[in-house]
Amino acid sequence: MLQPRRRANLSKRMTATMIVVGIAALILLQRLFVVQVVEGQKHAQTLIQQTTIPILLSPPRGLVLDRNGLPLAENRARYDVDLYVRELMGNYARAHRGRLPMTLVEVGLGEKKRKQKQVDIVKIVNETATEPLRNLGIVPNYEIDELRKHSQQRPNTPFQLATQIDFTTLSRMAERDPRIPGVQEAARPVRWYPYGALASHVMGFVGAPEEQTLETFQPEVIGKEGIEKGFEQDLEGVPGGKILKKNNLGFIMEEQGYQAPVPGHNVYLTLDVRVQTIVEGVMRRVGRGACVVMDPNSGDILAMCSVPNFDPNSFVPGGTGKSTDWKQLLTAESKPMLNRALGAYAPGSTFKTLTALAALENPAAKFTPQTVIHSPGAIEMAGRTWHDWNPDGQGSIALKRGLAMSCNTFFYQLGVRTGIESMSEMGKRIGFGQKLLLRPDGAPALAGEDPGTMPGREWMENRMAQRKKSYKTKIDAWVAEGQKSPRPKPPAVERWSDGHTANTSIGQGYVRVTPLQMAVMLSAVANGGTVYQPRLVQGVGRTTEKGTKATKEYPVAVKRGDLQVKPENLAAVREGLRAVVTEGTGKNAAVKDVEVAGKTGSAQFVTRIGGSTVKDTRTWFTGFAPLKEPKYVVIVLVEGGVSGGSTCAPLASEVLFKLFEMEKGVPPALVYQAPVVGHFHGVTASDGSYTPGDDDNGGLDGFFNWLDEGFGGGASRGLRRR
Amino acid sequence: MRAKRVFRGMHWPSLFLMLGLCLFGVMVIYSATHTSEAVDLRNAATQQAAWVGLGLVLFFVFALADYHRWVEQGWFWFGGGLLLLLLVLAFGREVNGAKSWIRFGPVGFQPAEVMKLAFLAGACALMVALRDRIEKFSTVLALVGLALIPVFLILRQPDLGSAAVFLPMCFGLLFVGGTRLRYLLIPAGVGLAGVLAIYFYVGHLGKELPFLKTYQNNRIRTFFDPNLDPLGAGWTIRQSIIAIGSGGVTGKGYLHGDQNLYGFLPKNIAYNDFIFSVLGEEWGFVGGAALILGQAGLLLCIAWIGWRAPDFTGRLLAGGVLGMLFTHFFINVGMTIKVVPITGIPLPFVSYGGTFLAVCMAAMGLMQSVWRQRHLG
Repeated sequence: MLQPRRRANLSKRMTATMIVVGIAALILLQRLFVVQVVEGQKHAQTLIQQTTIPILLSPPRGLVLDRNGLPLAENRARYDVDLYVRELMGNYARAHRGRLPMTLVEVGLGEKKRKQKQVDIVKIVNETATEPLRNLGIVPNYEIDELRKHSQQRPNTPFQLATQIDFTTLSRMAERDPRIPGVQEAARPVRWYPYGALASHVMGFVGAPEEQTLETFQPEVIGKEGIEKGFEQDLEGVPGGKILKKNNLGFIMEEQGYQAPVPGHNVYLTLDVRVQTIVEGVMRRVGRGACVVMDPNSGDILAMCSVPNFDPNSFVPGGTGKSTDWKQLLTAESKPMLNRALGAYAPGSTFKTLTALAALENPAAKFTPQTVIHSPGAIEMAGRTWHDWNPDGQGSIALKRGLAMSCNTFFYQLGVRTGIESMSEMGKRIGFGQKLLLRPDGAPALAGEDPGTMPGREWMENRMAQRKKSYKTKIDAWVAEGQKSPRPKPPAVERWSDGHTANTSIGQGYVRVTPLQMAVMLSAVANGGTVYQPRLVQGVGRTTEKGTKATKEYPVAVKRGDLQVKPENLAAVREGLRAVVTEGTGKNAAVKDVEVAGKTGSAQFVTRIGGSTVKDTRTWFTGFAPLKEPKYVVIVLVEGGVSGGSTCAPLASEVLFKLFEMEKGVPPALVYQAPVVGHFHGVTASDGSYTPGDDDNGGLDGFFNWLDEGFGGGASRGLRRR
Repeated sequence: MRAKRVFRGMHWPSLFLMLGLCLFGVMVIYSATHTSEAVDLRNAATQQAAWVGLGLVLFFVFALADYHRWVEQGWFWFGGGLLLLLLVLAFGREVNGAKSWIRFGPVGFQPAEVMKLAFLAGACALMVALRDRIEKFSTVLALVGLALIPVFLILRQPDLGSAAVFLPMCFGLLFVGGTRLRYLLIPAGVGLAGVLAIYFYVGHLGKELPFLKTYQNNRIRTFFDPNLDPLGAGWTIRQSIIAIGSGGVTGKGYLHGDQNLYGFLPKNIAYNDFIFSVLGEEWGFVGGAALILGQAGLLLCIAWIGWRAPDFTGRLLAGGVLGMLFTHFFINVGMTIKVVPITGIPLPFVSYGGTFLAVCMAAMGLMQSVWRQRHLG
């Protein structure tokens, strides 16, 4: 029997024991509460991180198709070997008891340049993946710096260890799976332009996005120029994704939450690959130039060509081009990247069509198609002598002969009689001085369009006001500086004069027109006076299982306005343009069995090329055919040509000939086009007073400067127009 | 009639708590192993269920027998236990670097677990013999000396976790037996201070204790900072916390623990030493707390049985069983949620492991025997 003292003692001890058990349970419960309830979310996140691999799926980019449904830009499959950095690293760590090789890598640029300690991903790849891949005949062709950057910035997206694996090697890899966690084969769409350089300025090209962000999805390529850039939002599509569950060894256990990417929308162009091929085949012979073919009855652009051009395939990341190729393209003096069809050039004599239209509609000009104007070799007007290109002149002639022979003295006088206001008004109706290649919502359909210049009195006043403004800024700065440097020179004051009007009437002076604007004018002349909105894009649509579903359709044959020229007057102008080809300066444009009408033009231009000042004549042929019920408007511009009649008319003739052959059932062969290389064969050393230092690139600004500084009494320079 | 006699005077709360824990254990073991590639692991739940059956037989044998008989034969059982430990050192199979199994064909058992029960018998016999000198320090030394014999043998296997249980058992026996508190609390305080000093020395200063193996040093170190070596030595504790923590309040549902399914909790320990991690992930805080409360409730039952024990021997047995089960429970649950460093000892009634399960159920049978005789004292 226990003694009473012991009993009391025992009770205390058993109570103590129970209290200890209780306290222990409370300690565990408290800690469990912290782990599961307080920190539960954090641990759940960690679990998700270590068991899931989120994968972004790029959507296939939309196609760009011509008016007949032929793809100008499509996607080809390319086979790559992808590396999932996280997976490989995690696996390597487990295999090496958590030790990852570290290395110092230089990061940042300039001031921020510093050494950063990073996991040596290159070493890991070399130790684990390189050898098994080599055994399969796959040679990794990645850039080491790119891999380091990628593993730091985008560890969730696959990195291409090897690109453009051929299909045989790919099958071998699928057959003898090397089972390297984090390394797998992948097929991905790559942009492909099946016709190479064809319509390259319209298409533009794609490239890798410049800004790499961690958070949001970034497509592998984005449009950088042309349609590819302008319609990026439509072409891009919506990325999909899937979540892979992996086990502790890095192997994929299951797939969760697959969401298919939504392919991008297709862009349907008005271009016709056949017409484009014809045009480019002809324009290849030219060093620098542009050609636009338009349907005069709708404003649809059937072909838009600019040479020299480029092969957009060479820009595609991971594509066939070498990076040096396009660096050369970007810096070449012939500017292959410039879309000349949308560039503004002095129109020269092709502008006389407009002068004639304006004169016929201005009662003050007292001009009818039958009005005879005496046009000698030279005339005195506005205090200066104005020469014709023909020292003998044309004698007393009416409109038809004036256009046919492109008589300068005829149009000088006609222009002054008509006045600049009428001409400006007519220019505005056509769209000169404005951007024309617009979508229905007013956004440009293609970037890089130059509005050109349609000069006039108001235009001149604005110009002077701007000069004064910039002079005032200069003076203010000079005063604020304490008048240390020499006082800035006051700007030259220029007022619109009859001289300017006379110059403009032959397409010289300040006026600048793009080949596209020319096509709009000629279309209006050809179709009876309707000014159509030029259209390059028919619409945007999506390819579905049932076919194509249009999501945005751009209206057909939108009228921007009317020339407001009486039909008989318009007919007279057309007759004049026909006479150009039958008996005048554009005889070379004739096509057998087709009535071609048109107007030649050449404008002398002085520029600097390769450090020397040269004459770089801009030559034109702007025409349409057939005369009755016209189908095609063809505008040819050649830089460095001899004259419109001798350089451009034959090209236009060939284009038209082949177009009508095509209609008869002889289409051109549609082949992959190599890019056209630019040249300067047509240019000759200049005696012109080019002012060096204003613009050494010989761009349009250079020409402006040259005019500003040296034009003065401009016309008496004796520019001969043909 | 006979059945009535068998069940008369049973301590029902502890019986149901025990059975509940065993059932829960079989379920969680199934969850922890059913996707495993190894056949042995996939059969674990069935085997555990079979062991529960054997454990029940042992439970009733011990419950119906007079516990005095067990203590009277204490030296015999103790000697038998030591013999088994010697045999396992001589002929045992080495598994995971430790010689701890004796196998007869498909059936195997771990003598170290059996020794826990055998030691209890021997220790009680010693204490009963020294009852008059129970308050003396020499008794403490005698008991600890007795414990050190199996501890030494078990450390030779080596199995630090099993060896570590004997000292708390001694503590329980002496505390309940009536040893002066200073003989207990001073060594315990010194021991605790020593443990803290070791943590500080190894964990903070990064030094190694010469008498521990490198992996043991690393375990102590990673206990302080699992991020030190997230994929190496700290892996298990880190993954255990992730598993339990991601379970949240209500858990992911039975058989739906990703952490376990995807093998982040190593398969070979998830069903035994880290069964609480699997449980915590699938059943959440609700399930985890239920388990802790169930275990604590069972321990309180044992304490209550000890309190109401008819005599010194019965009380001693309760103290010893309490010391053993408490240590297992606290260290096992504690290591999975980073309360104590990782020590490879199982969770009573729940972890996979037949020998220990049978030993625990037999111990509970002893408690029933004590309870049945509570009025006889």
